Amino acid sequence: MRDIERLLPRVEKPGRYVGGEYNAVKKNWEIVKVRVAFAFPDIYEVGMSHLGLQILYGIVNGRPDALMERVFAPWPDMEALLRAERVPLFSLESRRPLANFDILAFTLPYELTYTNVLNMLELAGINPVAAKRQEKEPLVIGGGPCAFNPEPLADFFDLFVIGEGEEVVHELLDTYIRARQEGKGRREFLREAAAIKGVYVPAFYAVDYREDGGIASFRPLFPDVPQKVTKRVVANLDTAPFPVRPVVPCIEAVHDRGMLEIFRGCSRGCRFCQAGIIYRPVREKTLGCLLAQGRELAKNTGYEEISLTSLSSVDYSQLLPLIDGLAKDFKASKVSIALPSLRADAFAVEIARRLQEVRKATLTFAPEAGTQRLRNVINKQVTQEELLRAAEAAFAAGWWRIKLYFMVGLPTETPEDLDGIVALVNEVLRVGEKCGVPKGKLRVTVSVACFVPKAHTPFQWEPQVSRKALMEKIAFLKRRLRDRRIDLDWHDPAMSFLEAVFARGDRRLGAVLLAARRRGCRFDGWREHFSLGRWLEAFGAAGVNPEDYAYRRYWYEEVLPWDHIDTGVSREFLIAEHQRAYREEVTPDCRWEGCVACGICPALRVSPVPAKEDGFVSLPNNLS
Amino acid sequence: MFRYRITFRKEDPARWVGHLDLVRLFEQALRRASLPLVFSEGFNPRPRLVFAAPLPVGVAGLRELLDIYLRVPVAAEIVQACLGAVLPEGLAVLAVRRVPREEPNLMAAVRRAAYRAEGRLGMPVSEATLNEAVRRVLMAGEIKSSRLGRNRAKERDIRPGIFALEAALVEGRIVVTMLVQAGQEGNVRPEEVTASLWRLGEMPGTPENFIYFRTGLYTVVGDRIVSLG
Repeated sequence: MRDIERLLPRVEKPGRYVGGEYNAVKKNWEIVKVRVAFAFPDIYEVGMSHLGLQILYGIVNGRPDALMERVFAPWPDMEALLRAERVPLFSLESRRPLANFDILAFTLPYELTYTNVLNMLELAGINPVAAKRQEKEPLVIGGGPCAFNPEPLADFFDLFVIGEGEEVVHELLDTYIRARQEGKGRREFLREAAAIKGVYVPAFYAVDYREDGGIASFRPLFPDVPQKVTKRVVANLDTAPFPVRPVVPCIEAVHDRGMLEIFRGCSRGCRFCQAGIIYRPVREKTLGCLLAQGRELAKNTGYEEISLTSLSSVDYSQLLPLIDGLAKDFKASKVSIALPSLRADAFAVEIARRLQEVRKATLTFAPEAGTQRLRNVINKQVTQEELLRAAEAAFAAGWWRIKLYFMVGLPTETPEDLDGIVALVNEVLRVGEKCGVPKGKLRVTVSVACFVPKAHTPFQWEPQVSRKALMEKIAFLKRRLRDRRIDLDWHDPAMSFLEAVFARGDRRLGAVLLAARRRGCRFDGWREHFSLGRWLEAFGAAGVNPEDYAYRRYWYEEVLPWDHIDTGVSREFLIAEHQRAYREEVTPDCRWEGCVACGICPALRVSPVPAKEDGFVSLPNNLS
Repeated sequence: MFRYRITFRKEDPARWVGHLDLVRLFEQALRRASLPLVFSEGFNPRPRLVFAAPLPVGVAGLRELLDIYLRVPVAAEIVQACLGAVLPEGLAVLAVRRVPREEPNLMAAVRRAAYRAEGRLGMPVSEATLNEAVRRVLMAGEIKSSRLGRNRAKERDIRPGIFALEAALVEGRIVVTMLVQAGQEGNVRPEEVTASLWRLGEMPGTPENFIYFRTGLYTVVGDRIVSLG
C-alpha cells in the first residue's frame, strides 16, 4: 500500500487508482468466503461508465459471504511505474494484489481490449495461460458481449458466462463456495460449474481443424458437459436487482451521469447489429418501477444528469409519462434527463425538445446508409423523408448542430450508396439553411464507421471489405464532404480489420494474442497506441493469416467458431435474414407487427415484456 | 439568498482528486444532501459554489474553505449533518457557519496560506544544517522560481511571498511549516519553498517524497492576518 502511495504523485491522473468513491464498498476480507475482483480491460473513466460493472458490484457486495472490488487497465504511465518498481497490479478498494483474490472476473466489452486483458494478468503476476495456472492462482472468468464468441480468448480463461449475469452470478458463487468447503480443486470446481446453465468452460471442449483451415468438429470431452451453451436471460427486469446506489467516480467518467436502464433488448433487427440479437427479447421495465428507480438513483448519486439507457430508448412504450414523471421529480434539483441515441424521426425530436429544457445536448441520428436500397439491405427502417423531417424539427426547435452516423463497407454497397451519403448530408445542410439556422452556426458532424461482421448476426457469414477499399471509401467521402459546416470523423479501417479478425476468430488466435502482447500491443482501441505493423508481425510469428478471418466469406455449411454458443435466435432465422438482405426485403419489429419467428421465445421460454400489461402502446399519431 | 461557509478536510484518498473534479464532487454531494441550493442561470445551471483556493493534486487540506448559497435559511448544524453524511472517503466537514451575504467574495479574500510538508530524508541532515537552510531562505533578497506557464516556463521572485518558515527534525522525519502568499495574486506553491530550502541550504538529496498539507487559509485586514474559516 505504501508502494502505491509512492507512485501516485508520478502519474498523470492519480484519481484513477485510489478508489474511495461515494457508494464504493469496502468489506472485511476475513469474514467473506469468496473474494472477486471485477476487472475492466480499459481505463477507469471508461469502465466507470459501464452499467454491467455497477450491476454485478451491487449484487456480489450485497451477499454477506462475498466481496467484489474493482480494477481497471492502468494507463501506460502507471504501467511503466508498476513494472519499474515491481508493484503488482492492485484493486482500488483494498489495494491488494489481484493474485490475492479467489476470482478475477473480466468483462469483455470490445475485441480491441483483448491485449489489455493479457497485460493486466501479466501486471498482476498471474499466468495468462489457463492450463498453466497454479491451483493457488485466481480463477479467471469472463463475460459481456465478446463472450458470445469467446474462442480467441479460450486459452486464457477458466470459464465464460454467456448472457445476463444477474442470476447466474449467484449460482456460480454458491458452487465455488461449496467446492472450496468440500476441499475440491480447480478442475473439480470447473466440472461442477460447467453444469450451470450459461457457463462455458473452454478446456472441456476439443476442436479439430480441416486441412483447408476450417473447423472439422467441436465436441465436449466429457458426456456431462453440454454440447451447446445457451445464454442466460433475466425474464423480468422489474424484479431483477438494479444499482440505484452505484459507485460515483471521483474523477470525471466518459459518461458522467446516472444510468437508468429502461429496457433490455431491441427487436428492430438491424442486420449488422450484434446487440440486437444477443440481448433479445425486449423486456421493458414498468413505469412505476422506473419512476422509483430514477428517483432513488438521482438521490443516491447527486448526478446532474440521468440517462435513460437501452439500445434504442425512444422505443420505450411509456416514454412520455416516464419523462414527465421524472422531470417533475428532478425540477427543484435541476437534474436533467438524457437519451443516449435518437431514432431519426420527428417524435424523437419532440422528445429531445422536451428534455432540453434544462440542458442542451447534441442530437444524433443513425441512418447508417446513404440510400433507401442499402437501408433495406441492413433493415434500418428509416426513410430519407423521415430523417429530413427530423432534421427540420430539430433545427426549428433551436438546434444548430446535428450528428449523423454512417457505415461504409456494408454488404452490397455500391458507389451510388456513397453518393447517397453525400446527398443526404447536403440535404440536411439545406434543411438547416431553410430553417434559418444563423450563418456560421450550422454544423453537421458525420461519423463514419467501417462495417465489421459480427458473430450471431445475419451478416456473420459476410466478408469485410479490404482496408484499402475502406480507406478509399473514406477518402471519397472526405473529398466530397469538403464544406466548412461539415465535420467528418471516421474509424480507422486497420482497427476495424483487427476487430473483424477477433469478432469471427477461433482458438488459433490465442497464439497471436500472446505474440502481440510480447510485441507490446495494448490499448489497441486507442489510436495513439494502436499499431497495425506490430499486429501483422504477431500474426506472422504465430503463422496465422488474419485475412482468413476478416476477408473470407464463411459458408452456411461450415462449423462456425461460435456455433456452440446459443443466443436463442435460430440459425434458420439468421440465414433467412441474410437472404432477405440480398433481396432488399425488410423485416418488421415484432413489437408492432407480430412475431418474425427469430426463435428466441420458444428456445429460452421467455417472451417480450411490454411496460403495460395490455401490450405495447403505439406512438402518438400527431408526433410520429 | 443565504450564504454558508463550509470548513472541510481533504485527505487520502480524496487528495488525489484535482480541483475541477472536486467542484463536481461537491456539486453532487450537495444534491445528495437535498439542500435548497441556489443555481446559476442559463443553459447549464450549476449550484453556486465558491472555493477559497484550488488545492494542487496530492496536497492534503486540513482546513479548506467553500461558500455555498441556499434559497432558504437552514440551521448551520443541519447543513453540516446533511452534507457530512454524503461525502466520499477523505472528505469531511469540520464546521459550517452563516456568513453575511455582503462579505467579500471568498476567493478574492484569500491572501495567505499555511502549509506543512513532511517527509523522510534520503540522506541524513543535521538540525544545524536545516536551521542554516531556513536562515538562508529568509535572508535571501530574491528567490527565483520558475513554473510552467501556458507555453513556457515563467520565472519570478517568490521571496516576497514567504512570510514565515520553520523546519525541524521529528523522529527522523523533516517537518517544514510555512506561511506564504496565496490567492489570485503572487500565489506561492509549497514545493517551490521546499525546493529553495534545499537549493539555498545546499542540502543533499531532493524533497520529492514529501507529503504536503495546507493547514489554513487567511485574509489580511490592515496589518493583521485573519483566518477565513
